[in-house]
Amino acid sequence: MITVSQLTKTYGKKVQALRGVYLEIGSGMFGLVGPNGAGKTTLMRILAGLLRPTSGKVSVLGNDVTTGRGKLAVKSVLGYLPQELGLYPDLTALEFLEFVALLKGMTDRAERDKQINENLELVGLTSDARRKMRTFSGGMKRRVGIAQALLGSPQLLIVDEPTAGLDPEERVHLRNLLAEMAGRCTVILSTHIVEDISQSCSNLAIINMGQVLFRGSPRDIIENVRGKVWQVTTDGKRLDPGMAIVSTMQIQNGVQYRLVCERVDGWPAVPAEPNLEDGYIWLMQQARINQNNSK
Amino acid sequence: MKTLWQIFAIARNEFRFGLRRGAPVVVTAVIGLLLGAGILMSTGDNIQNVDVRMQQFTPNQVAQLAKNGITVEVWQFLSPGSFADLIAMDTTGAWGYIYLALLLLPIATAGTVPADRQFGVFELLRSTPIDGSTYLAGKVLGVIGLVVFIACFPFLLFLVALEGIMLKFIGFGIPLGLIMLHLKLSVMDGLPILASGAALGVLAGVAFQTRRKAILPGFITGLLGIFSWLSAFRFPVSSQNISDVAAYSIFQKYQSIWQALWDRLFKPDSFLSSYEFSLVGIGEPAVGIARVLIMYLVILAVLAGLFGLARLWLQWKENI
Repeated sequence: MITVSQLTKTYGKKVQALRGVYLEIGSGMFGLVGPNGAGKTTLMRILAGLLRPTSGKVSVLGNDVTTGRGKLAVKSVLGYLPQELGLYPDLTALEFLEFVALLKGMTDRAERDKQINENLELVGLTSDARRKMRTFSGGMKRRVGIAQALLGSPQLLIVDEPTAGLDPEERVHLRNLLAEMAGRCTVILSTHIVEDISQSCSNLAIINMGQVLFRGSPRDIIENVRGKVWQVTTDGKRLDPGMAIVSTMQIQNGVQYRLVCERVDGWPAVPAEPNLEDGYIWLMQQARINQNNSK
Repeated sequence: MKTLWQIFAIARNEFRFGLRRGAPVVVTAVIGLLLGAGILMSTGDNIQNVDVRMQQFTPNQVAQLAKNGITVEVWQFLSPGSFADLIAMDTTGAWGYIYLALLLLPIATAGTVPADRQFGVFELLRSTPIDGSTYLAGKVLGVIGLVVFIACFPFLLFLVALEGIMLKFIGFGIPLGLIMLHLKLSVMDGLPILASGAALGVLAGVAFQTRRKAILPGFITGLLGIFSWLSAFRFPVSSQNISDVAAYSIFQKYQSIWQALWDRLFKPDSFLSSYEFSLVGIGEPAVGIARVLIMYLVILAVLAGLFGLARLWLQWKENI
């Protein structure tokens, strides 16, 4: 169980990355969604014990990550894939995984080798294990990152934008892999790609400008926006760009728009079945309106 | 036990990474080129004078000098107007050369920690259950291991060159005892300097984001290292030609300190005779073991202090 209360993080004197975040995360797979710069990575780093919060309390699996002892305790059961993943270009994938395994305290050689080989197979890199990583594609590097995060049978897996740079097939494979891991440990998946969350997370939080806008299940978000999703088909005329357009599709003899709003004035609109992306757009839209009102 | 494995992993990774980047080849090639170019440029003239110079010594003296690796001005390019002492690779320190290690090594090793940031690996490493001390210890040991390993190649290069020179100009090869002497002196004299230089660089570079940004601090640390080292361990030197003689004398005196330690520990019965091969050792006052230990302690204390500062920095800035 992870509990976060009144969490703030300020960089320097002006940049407030987190503003009083409250969050509870149970077992299974938890999604953290938000636009770039929302504070997702900062929150992930604090949960992983990499960053010191400015104020607030953070308890991860019963450990206070703001203390040295708690931080080490969390790291010893943590699998972490950072957003900006770097690898030593002159090492092979096998050498790198062995390096990380030792850092994670896997001193038993037989167990270490077994896990490394299993993880390499899991991410489909067995045949490339002895190649230097400088020759790897972006997707392959990402897969090495996943393999290292899974080493040591972590109780908590934090993955920050794991699907970035992966092709569609790799993304699906990774999502399935994470969903499978969620059966054994808590997985926190941070992303700005809503589709990644909708396919795999039973719980999620939407974060924007350092604050949690929503905490619940994907179904809750979808229900929240029900009745506010519309489909508008025009003969080629464009909608006002100020309207909350979720998608635009050119069709024969016109353009089909998908909108998220209370009502559509001046256009023939048909109600549409909402999805997670609609719910996300709706929440972000509401947050912007509230922000403008408060100014 | 877990911590030791972690230190080993970081050190081995650093060592391996350094090797893969071709550092030994580059360093050996540079030193080889330097020595080779020097021999080619200067040996011809020097060799012409060898016979004249040799005539100043009795045959026994020449043989004695040669046995101790001392030839006559063959390597004059590094030490104009003075004896060229060929005892071991590190004896280039007789010209102050080894002290260049204190200047150059910190520049080379200051980028060790920034490289992890630059490669984007640092965040990943920080997510593992290692603390700052483990990380730094692994880095320092890895770099020292790499530097020592690299130093073996110029050492072998030196032995080969010395063998060739002795065979050609003096008429006999290197006696086994001399090879062992070279090795022993290299271990006693060269390694502490190399290790200190390498460690200083790693610790000085901790606070910087990129390898390039760490070059200047590495250089400054190197300069401070040389001056601190010489001012802490030098002996008074009086000479007209201070620039040529100072480093030579200091090195020889320093070498005598090591030799004294070695003899005290391993050859207590032949303490005095061991100074036969030290150019300035004969007639010099014996160096007490306490002085040697103080020197060790000073070096270790300085490095430990810097290590502590680097550790605090990592804790403060990186939360590690």
